[in-house]
Amino acid sequence: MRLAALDTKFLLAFAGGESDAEETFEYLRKNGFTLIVTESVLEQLGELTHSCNKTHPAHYYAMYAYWTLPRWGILEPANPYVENGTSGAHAEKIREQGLLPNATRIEAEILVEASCHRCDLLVTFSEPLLNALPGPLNLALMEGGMDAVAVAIASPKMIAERLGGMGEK
Amino acid sequence: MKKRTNVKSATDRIPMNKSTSGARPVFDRERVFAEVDASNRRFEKYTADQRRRFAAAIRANRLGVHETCRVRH
Repeated sequence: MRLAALDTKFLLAFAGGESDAEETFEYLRKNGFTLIVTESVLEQLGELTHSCNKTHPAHYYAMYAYWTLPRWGILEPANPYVENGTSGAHAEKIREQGLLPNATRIEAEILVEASCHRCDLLVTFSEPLLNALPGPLNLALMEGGMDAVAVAIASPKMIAERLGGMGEK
Repeated sequence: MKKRTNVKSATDRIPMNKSTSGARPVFDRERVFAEVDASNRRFEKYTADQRRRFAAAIRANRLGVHETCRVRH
């Protein structure tokens, strides 16, 4: 089974019916990916519903996205490395090594959690993750001793470009 | 960005239940993404316990709604 992890912004954009997110979703499904969200993404959806004003669209779409994850067929698997804090510590270590310039703690954690879930792909709008050097970053991901794997990081824009390229052939 | 016409949007595919059938706010990407960026910064300061509570609260909310629907049904 091939897994792809989705980040918070992607989920909210998909819930909002944004065309790039929808095209990405279709692309992932057509290419046999099972879609998951990690614990940090769930925590962030919860935080957005807690911290945002109820009239703010982020509040509405965070709640709506979480309610509809099962209908979209997006899984919320548990992972022991996430639950015992090992993945969080590893994310902090990777950040301290300067492998994710300008990334926030939660962005690094989402990446490490995706790696612990053995995801092949992380779909994200995060510029710090998309701009990171993949070679050293993937080596660092695999050094954590958590059965973690290398993860390809892609944005919906990259996937749209792939779709465009395939359409021209 | 051009909307695709052959794929229904996620929100169109899913019928709204009563609790979400009120006016749906327009998806303003700039505002929503700015709020996620602000949330990313807030996460620098949260403790593990606070984070667990955010996840627990949203899980409980969905479970509660599903249970209410099941009982009504």
